[in-house]
Amino acid sequence: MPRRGAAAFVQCVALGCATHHAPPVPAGPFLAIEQRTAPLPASSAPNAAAVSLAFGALPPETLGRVHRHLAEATTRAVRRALPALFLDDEPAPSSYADVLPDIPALTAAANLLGSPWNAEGISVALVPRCAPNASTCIPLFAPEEPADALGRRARALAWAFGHAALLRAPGDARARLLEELRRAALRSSGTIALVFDADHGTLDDAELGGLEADARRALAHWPADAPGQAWLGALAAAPGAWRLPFALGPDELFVVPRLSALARLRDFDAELARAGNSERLGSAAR
Amino acid sequence: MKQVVWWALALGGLFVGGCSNDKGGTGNQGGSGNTAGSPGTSGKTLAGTWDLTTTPLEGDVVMTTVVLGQDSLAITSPDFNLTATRSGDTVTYTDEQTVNIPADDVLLTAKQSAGSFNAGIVPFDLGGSWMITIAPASGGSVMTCTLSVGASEIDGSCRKVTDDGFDFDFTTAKQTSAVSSFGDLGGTWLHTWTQNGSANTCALDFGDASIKTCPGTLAGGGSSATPVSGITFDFDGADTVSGTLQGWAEFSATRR
Repeated sequence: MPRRGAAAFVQCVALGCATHHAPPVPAGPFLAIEQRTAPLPASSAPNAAAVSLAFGALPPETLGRVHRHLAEATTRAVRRALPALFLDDEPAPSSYADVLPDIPALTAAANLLGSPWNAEGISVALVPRCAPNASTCIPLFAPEEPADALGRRARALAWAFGHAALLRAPGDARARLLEELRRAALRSSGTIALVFDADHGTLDDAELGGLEADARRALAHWPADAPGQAWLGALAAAPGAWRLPFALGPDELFVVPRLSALARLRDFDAELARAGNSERLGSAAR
Repeated sequence: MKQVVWWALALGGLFVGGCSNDKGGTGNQGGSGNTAGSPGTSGKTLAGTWDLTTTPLEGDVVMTTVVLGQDSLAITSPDFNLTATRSGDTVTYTDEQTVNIPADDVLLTAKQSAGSFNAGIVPFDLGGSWMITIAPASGGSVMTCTLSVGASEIDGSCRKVTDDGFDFDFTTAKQTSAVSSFGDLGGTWLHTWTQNGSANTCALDFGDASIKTCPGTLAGGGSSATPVSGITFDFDGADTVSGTLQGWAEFSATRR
């Protein structure tokens, strides 16, 4: 052993090897936060990519179910608009939820694709690594909630990422966990919006084609000023391929809560635990 | 006009129905540091500045700022602004329906005869009886309303003065009491909404730090719903609230 190397070894044993004791470098992605004075356009608008992303994180049969649901709702709307042509007294769709029952999933998907998220005085972007000159940059999957108000506000804007859970479950356990979590996501009173088992994928062409056709039919028959027209337009243009804006490992699941459940994150955690065993790699804002 | 009504409902005025302007009332019950909260909320009220996120519906997503104060309410969004301030026993509520076009403003003026009522974490003084007028800034009443808020019953009535308005009545009677961060609202209530000759009912449940109303939606044409149907509201006791409106639209707000 060279003298310099031996000295370094002794020093290392005596004082501790700095490289072994350095805190681990947080893995990406990160939220880069900028404080702005000028107003910025908001994001997370209804869009076709978000529709496909949402269907990529719901049970495969969801596409067909929404297709049938939309077709039935549109038929009811047509019959209601033209009562003279129909003898039966079809009830009108009673709410937006009748047309788009998976709106919490669509809402979450739109937020996932919404970077940069802007609000009064702040802009937050999803980045793979922090720029050397970044003023504030926080790891997305931090073990602890950021203590400062700026970090909390950033996570609130990027809420779908900011409150999601990253789980690891190997092998068969992962398949069972995925099935249970996606079943939980369909419960109307549940807290789960989306469950991803991959960071990209493609949707069933035939089902998607049928859904797009019915969305176009709905657009033609629903009032132009009806709420949700933008989502119907997005459904009509949904691409077959979807992609998360970050890489997911092979044993990982990425679970996003509903916007309406952000004050009930304990319930969200409980739903995750009930679904099965997994190692929690990260979660924000706990 | 109805924007005022719906926003007030959304912000916790479940019980006031269409007579929304009392939401701008000021508080002898709330405010930081008081003991309004239940064990579930550690005494924190809803006072503060909140970033509000809602279900995106159209092309542009609206980020809204809500400032709840002991003596004020301000809602700022790109499309409209609402402000409420109290002076003595009168609350003035301005609905700037089109930003920077004052001629489109709607004013709600509510005069209170005070009564006992603890709204818990809601930092407004709501108790007693109210005389309310709703009018465009250019003058002339559109609607006149009365409202009474008590620990066991909350009733309201509005009559249109011009064709811009609409008539309705409601009663909200307490069924059972419960310890709640919402003070006297804690427990279950039966809300009855009467409009155009038909009456619909809705059960309301004010829990420790949550609100849940009957299923349903009025906006989509539901025939048996009320304006307070389909609402859930949860407060985590710290700096986040979230829930649903009209049975499907989601919201969440985080305190800065």
